[in-house]
Amino acid sequence: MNKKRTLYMAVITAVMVLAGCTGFAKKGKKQIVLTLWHVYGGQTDSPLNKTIDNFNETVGKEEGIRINVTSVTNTNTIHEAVIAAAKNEPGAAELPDIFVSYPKTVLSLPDKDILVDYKDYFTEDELNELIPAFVQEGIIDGKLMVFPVAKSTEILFVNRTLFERFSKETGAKEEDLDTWEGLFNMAKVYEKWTDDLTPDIVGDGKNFFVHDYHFNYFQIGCESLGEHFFTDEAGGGKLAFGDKFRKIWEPYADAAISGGVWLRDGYATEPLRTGKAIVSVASSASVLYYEDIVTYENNISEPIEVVSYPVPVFEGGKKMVMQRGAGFCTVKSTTERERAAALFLKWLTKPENNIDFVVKAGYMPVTEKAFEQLSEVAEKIDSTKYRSLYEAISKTKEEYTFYVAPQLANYLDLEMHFEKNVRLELSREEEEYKEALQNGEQPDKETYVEDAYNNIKQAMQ
Amino acid sequence: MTEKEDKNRPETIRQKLSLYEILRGINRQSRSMRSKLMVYLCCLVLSGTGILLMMLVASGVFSESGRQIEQNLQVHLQNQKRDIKERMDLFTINGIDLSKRLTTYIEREVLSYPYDIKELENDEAGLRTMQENMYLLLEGKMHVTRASGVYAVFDTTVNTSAPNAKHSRSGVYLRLANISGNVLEDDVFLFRGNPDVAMQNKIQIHNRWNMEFDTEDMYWFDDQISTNNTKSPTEKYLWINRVHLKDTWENSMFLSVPVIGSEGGRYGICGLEISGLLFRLSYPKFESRYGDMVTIIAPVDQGKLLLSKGLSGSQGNSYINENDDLFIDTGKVYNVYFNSQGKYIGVQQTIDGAYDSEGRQWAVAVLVSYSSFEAKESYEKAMMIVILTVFSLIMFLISFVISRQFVKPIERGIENLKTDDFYKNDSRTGIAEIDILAEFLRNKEEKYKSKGPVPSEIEEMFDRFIENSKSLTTSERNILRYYIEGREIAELPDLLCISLNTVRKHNRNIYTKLGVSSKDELQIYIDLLICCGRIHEILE
Repeated sequence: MNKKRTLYMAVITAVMVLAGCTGFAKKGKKQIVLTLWHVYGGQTDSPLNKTIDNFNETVGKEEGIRINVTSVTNTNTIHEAVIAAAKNEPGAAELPDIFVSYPKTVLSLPDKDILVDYKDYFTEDELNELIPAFVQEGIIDGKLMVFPVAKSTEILFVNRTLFERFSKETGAKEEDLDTWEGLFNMAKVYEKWTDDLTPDIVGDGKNFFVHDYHFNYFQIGCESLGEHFFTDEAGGGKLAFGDKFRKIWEPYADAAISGGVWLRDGYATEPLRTGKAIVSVASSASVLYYEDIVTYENNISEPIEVVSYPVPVFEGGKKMVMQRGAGFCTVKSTTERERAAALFLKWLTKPENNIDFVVKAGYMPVTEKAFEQLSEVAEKIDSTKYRSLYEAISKTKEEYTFYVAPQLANYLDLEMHFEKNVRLELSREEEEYKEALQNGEQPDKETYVEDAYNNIKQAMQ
Repeated sequence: MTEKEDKNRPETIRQKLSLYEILRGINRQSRSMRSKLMVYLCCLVLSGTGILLMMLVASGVFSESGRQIEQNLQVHLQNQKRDIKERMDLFTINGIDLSKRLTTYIEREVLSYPYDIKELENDEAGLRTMQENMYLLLEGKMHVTRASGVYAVFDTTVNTSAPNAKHSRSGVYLRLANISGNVLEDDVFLFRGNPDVAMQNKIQIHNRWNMEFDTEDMYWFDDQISTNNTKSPTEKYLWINRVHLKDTWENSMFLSVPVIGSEGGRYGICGLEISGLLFRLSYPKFESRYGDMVTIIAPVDQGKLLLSKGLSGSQGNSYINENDDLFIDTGKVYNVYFNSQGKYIGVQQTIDGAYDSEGRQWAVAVLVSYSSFEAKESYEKAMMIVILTVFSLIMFLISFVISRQFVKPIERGIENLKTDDFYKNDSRTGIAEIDILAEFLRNKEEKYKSKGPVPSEIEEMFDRFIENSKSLTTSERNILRYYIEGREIAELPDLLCISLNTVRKHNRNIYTKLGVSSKDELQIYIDLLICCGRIHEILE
């Protein structure tokens, strides 16, 4: 018996020694590397990348997880890339493990089941810490597929330095920007004022205002006045073009055709950066893209002060603002990788980490606890631009109702189509109107406003 | 259990039994001890070989993984290098062509003889027009080469009175802002240049746009347009090390070609950009059995792959810190690369004609994480060891069984031979030598038996001897019993408590009565009676 035991021991010892030689003992925890496409920073230096570096160096290191940012772009580009990858289109990039998108991207996916349902990795208590409306926005077919990490809203940005120059000459007041009517009137005044600055050059008036999302202006405008912007939502969704739409079209188109509104494609960054417009309504996250200088054509740059206000409202309308901000989607893989992605998101939404990230990027946090700490943190921000932004965000949260766009499958198509056509039609009408003016005619602006409206309506139906 | 299965069952048992019997039959077939010992030793030798192989595998003598990964790395490297070289050649050809076209355009349309680019200083309208006219050429080159950016910067500025005018240079820099795969979208942004160029061409300005280039961010600018640079036009281009694009999250490397006038004047530089993102998307990780293979392009300098100055393809699980240069430990099969954060194995090849501004040659390398390779290698070794261990254990088991089978029939054969009636049984042991011995003894026994019972004369002698023994006295009979038990004369005085002379006296009486003349003759009678089984008749 003893001999047998000795023999077994000898065999086990030999196997263990050999196993040791093969390096089993050296084998540690395998690192999980997750790729991420996000939108926080776009073409600029991204604050999320710095937050992720912090994660990788701390919790990520302990847990053997590394988040590798492989692209920082915008939601539209991610939308195109994700759809192309999901459809296996030729030349499409491989889907990352995590990407940032709006629910509309998920709705457009040929198979939504490629995404993780976060309910599998977050407890009820963990989800309850998030602001319910933010969570609700990411639920599709009963599954939490778009996880909120940071939310933005629309904000009115003013280049105070140039505005004060204009105000000094014309008596314009920032308070007039509280209503859309006031803003559009001011846009016309500004265009004329800048045109008059160079009497020898006719028709070189500058734009006053730029809106990043014309679609949102009309959507929020209609809803704030008690009219649904969309109709036939069950049948796919289309624009209602009701009376209120017509009402809010008037001042907008009037100012645009007069030359007071920037109508070119793209965001407000360009006209604000070059001094070609001084007021914008854009996502609060745009603060990251707005620089504190304006550069003129002679390569002289001037420092400016950018201040923020809640978005204007219509006289008699409800204070309503678009709730924006994409969320994080995780592509299904192994349980180990999905759990690692969830762990990263849990870390990112912890109040201290969440606030640290959002205040650098112009977003709102996503937990009630973080919101409670927000004002205190915002007061300590050095930059007047960011401090002003967070004052405007706080005011918005107190006074405004957040509006969440409906989850229509064709939402993105409608939005892109509308944006393109509105800008195109109004630019064309503006050009024709100015041409008529330069030809010494007395054009009736109302006709141009009416024509543009009819053309838009026709184009969208 | 079904009826059918019930019916089949006895059949199966029968089959099993017959197979067992066959095996038993084979086992019982006589084989030489030598052949059985040979099989036994062969098993031992194979076990030993297994253990030896196991130890060699564990110590890494048989590094099959090393050879295979080298082959995989080499194949991948050749593919990647071919692709990168083609792309760099395309960039170079188009970069040189761009330079020549810009020269032609500037000399024909912009400058007057003698051509001096400084002529455009403070000429806002002239520079804007020049930029507007250059746009299509630049955009075309960007699309043809599928670069992430294209630029042309001239040794002149729009405003010599502006702050930092000393380092400010006019030009156009177009970038693709949103790259999301190999198919590049037509999403051109103006990164540097007059915003009117963007407006006229219906593109947007970049979020970190500036009117002009800052040559402080282009350390190679002054050297490349210096008149001391006397290389031939086709040799003047450079592949610029990775540069962080100020205020953005992106890094890019550049092809830079000087724009030289027909009279030798230096107008500026132009070139193409490959962003880190474009390179990453163009050269995705290659999933091999040893881990994700990463493609790297970087200059090489004194045993180091300068990754901090190059670009990396997508990395997957083989994470490599792009800001940390890699030391190269050159090996026969593959190189080992390491930095402060990791260790990798890989292979590399330099790219002909590609040099950076420091004169270092660019190289393409393909790397895989050492830990993932090691894990795979360990797994393969472990598998091999498990197989060899199982093999050795099986061999040991066979040796054990065979040795038992070897000894058992010998023992059985000997036991059999020890029995009185071994010759009556036909019990073959399966050991030829034992069986032959048993056969021999059997034959001899039979031969002996065939000779019949004891001859009558001898029988009479035995009868007489037994009859005579009855005349012995009690003392004499006791002494005879001791002799039958094998005692010697010398032992008897002690046993019987008498003197030796008394014993001798009794002996003489015994010899006389039994009719023998010596102790030896008496002993022969005793032995023969024992053999014939009649000794008990004396003792009765």
